[in-house]
Amino acid sequence: MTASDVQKLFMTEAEELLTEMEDALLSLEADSENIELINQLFRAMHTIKGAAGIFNYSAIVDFTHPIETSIDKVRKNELKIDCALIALLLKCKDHTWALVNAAVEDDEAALNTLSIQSQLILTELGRHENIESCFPQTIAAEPITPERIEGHYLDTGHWLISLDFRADTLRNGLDPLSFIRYLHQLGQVLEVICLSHKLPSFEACDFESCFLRYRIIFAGNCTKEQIESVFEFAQDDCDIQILPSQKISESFQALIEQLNPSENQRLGEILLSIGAITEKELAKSLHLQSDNADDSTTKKLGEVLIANQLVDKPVVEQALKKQTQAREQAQTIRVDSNRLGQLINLVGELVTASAAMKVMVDRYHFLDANDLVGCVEHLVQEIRENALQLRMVQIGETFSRFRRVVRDVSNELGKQIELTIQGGESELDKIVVEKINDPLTHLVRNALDHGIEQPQERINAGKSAVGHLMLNAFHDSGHIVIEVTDDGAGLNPERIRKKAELLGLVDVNQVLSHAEILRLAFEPGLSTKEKASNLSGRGVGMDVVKRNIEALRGSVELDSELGKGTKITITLPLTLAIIDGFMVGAANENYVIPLNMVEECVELNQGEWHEQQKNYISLRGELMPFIRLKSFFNIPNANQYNHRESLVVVRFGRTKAGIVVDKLFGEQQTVIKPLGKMFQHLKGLSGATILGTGDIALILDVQGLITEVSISAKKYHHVALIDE
Amino acid sequence: MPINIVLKDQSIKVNLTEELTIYSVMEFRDALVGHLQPGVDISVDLSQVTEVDTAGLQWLLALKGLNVVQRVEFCHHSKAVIDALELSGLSGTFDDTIVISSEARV
Amino acid sequence: MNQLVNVGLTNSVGDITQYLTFQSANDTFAIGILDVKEIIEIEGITRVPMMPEFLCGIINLRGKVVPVIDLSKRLGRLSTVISKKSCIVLVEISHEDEQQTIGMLVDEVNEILEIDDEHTQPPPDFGADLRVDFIRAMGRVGEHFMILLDINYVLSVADISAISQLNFRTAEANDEVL
Repeated sequence: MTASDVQKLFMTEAEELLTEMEDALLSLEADSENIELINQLFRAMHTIKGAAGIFNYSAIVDFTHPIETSIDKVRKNELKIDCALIALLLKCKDHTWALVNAAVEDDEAALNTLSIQSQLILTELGRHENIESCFPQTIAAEPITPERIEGHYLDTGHWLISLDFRADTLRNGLDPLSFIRYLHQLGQVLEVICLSHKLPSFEACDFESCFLRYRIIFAGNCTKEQIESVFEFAQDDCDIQILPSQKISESFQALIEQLNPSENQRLGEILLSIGAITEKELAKSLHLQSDNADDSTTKKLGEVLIANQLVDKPVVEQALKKQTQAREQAQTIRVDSNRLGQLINLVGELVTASAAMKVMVDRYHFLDANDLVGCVEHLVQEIRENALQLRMVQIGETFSRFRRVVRDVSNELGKQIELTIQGGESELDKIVVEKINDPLTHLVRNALDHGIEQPQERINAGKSAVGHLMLNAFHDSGHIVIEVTDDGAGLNPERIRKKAELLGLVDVNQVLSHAEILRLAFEPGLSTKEKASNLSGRGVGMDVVKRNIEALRGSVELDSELGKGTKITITLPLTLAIIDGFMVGAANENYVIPLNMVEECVELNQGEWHEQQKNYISLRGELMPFIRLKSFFNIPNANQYNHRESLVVVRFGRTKAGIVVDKLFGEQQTVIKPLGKMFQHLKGLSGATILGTGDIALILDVQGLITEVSISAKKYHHVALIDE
Repeated sequence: MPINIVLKDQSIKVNLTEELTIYSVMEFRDALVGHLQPGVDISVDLSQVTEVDTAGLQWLLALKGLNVVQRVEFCHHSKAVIDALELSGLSGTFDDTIVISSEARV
Repeated sequence: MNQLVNVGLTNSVGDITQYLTFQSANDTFAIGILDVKEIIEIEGITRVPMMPEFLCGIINLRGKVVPVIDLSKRLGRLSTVISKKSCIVLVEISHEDEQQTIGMLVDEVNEILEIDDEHTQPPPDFGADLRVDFIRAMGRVGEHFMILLDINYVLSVADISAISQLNFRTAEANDEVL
């Protein structure tokens, strides 16, 4: 790994940590007591600081250190986390990212500017702390009234040492008092409680036996191990238990939380490493565990530890959680996405080569090889599916980033906007995810800026003061659908139309449906917003959004009702690389239809379908628009080819259409080769594929076709169609 | 003898000297046990106790817990006694009976 | 220097530049050799519907999809008639920071010639039936004149895709008339 590789890694990790930090801060707004979230903050700053130190990025270290200290104070309950602090920490997070970028790029100028900013932010942080630190310490140094035994001090970070001396202790030359004396040297013995109820009466008592038991509350700057060692010599004569108080237990949990999950760490090891148990205790417990091994109920180590009061339940649970985390993390591995891209390209080549092999086998009738070929094909298909799966990520990550955007923008504009996210688990190709970010951001900003109104305006319109924005994603026949919905002002069709007329896009007398008018919003130059804002310009860019999405072989649609809201639907193919295709022939040309959009195939002369009027056919009584592929594509000399025609019914969303072809070839794995920029305005074709024979077949863009077909079909039928 | 018992009417005055430890407790107990009668007051002077261990503590505790007698009282606790009581958290138990004499401040 | 069009500067070795010359539509053309990637035989050009006529189609170049343009048609002349000598000249042009490989269908490939600055002159202001921007300069070898093409314009991706868009709109309009 080169130096710059490592730096890039630092940047990637920093980005992840800072994203986590942001998420945690946003969640803390609603849930400010959540220690897990606070630890996440700490970890972020702590780790980045450490890594920055290795690279000598002193600017980052100097900035993150005081922040880490502040967060630590929050952890210890010395500083309270409130909205102001959260906002400040968000600023810190942003600034840290800027510093990371400048440092890795080695941008002196930027660093200089940023360092001034660092000072400002840290000063603000200092001011904040001073106000907050007049906070009464919750760690009690209060006068103690020994009420009852166990439990009293335990809320305040102390240990409860339980000593049950056995009868022969004194005879064996030991004196509990000497141990207690020693404890005084180790730390503060806050309270000693002597249990003497086992003591027999004076007359009958054998005073040389020990009947006393002690419960001691101890505080000290020492580990459990050290306390245990005090009683080293008493082990045979005394049952010793060292129990942490609630606070100590919590700090154990926090310690576990901060552990780097390393593979294969056993529960015992994890607990040992943070000092929640001592070696002796662990050995004893393991011993106990294996002793009972013959029982049908072998207790887990965690259970044994809890049962013997060596560790309390929350700590064990935390350790188990860390174990799972370690295991999960061990099961993930970072992969350079370029390598993944290369892998998928190779898989594509494999698909093509395997198809070519099949052609060869068929042509020369290698019957023996048929099974083998089938086997190879099947394997290739599986490899293909697995490889493509590697690149799938959940869209939820992208969606979550918008929380911050919504928050910042609504604050800036003085609007109240609530963001709902649904379907975040929907997966799609990483490359698509990256490319969809910009168009989505644009749409979201549009909705925030121009869509949702000011609270008063909303109230006046009879709506709730809080505006709603929803991001929704789901799968539909080989595509992923993303919806951006707002309950804002909606688009004004009148204004759109007028603007379109002004631009000459539409004739004054032209009749346009509501949908058609809305579609005009995607034309460049159309803006119905009089004022530009610095957020999203004039509210245009819809043409840019559309173009970006179409470049991904996707499509975008708009639905809006004036006064009610707007919904934008983006449809994207799940993968850009390899699909299952259905090959058909029209005249002498071959075309491939994405299989997941094929609903059925019907051969001619089955009496089920026939052409109604131009552009419509009826299939079993159902009417749908259709095209004859060879006519639609103007295939030269098409009439020479007189085949028995077939109808392929394709479906996209709720729309169905028919494609009349001459031949049906069947299913095949289709590696998508892009046609190139020269063909970008081509409608109805979305790519090419290389067949096993080396020939090229063009891939139909079903959605584009259906749209074109529906439009032209409608042009001819203004009158209601008569059913047969 | 490290234990000195003075009987007078219904009261027993006990003087302990030297150590109150595992080495002496049985002896001390045997010496006293015979005198325990209902209605008797026992007063134990601890001013000359040089050393107290757990066995000794048990002795004190058991004596204090006697219910056959009328009253048990301890006085002039020596430093050794006070230390032991404090270490074992029993100061409170013997609270009402601690009378600090000047000799005890050694 | 003077207003001589700087032809194929990057191809120069000293003042001399190497060109590939070829025949198309009864004329001799030349392009700078550094732009030429490969010359291949014609094998299975797949037609792409709804594209301008001068776009013959696409070919499979070792797993890559490459468009092929009929040079003659593109220059506004008649379609190339495919003969035994016809072949495809693969050139590489830049489009929006990307390198794109495009094939040119020609009647015949001739030879590689060296033409120096002295033997080139700017294109005629009139008389040529070609788009002016297609011509970089005129070259003279011996008695023959040949047209030094500016392939960045001839094979311009932006140009061609715009034309295809126009085509489509026209077709749509025609539909309406029906």
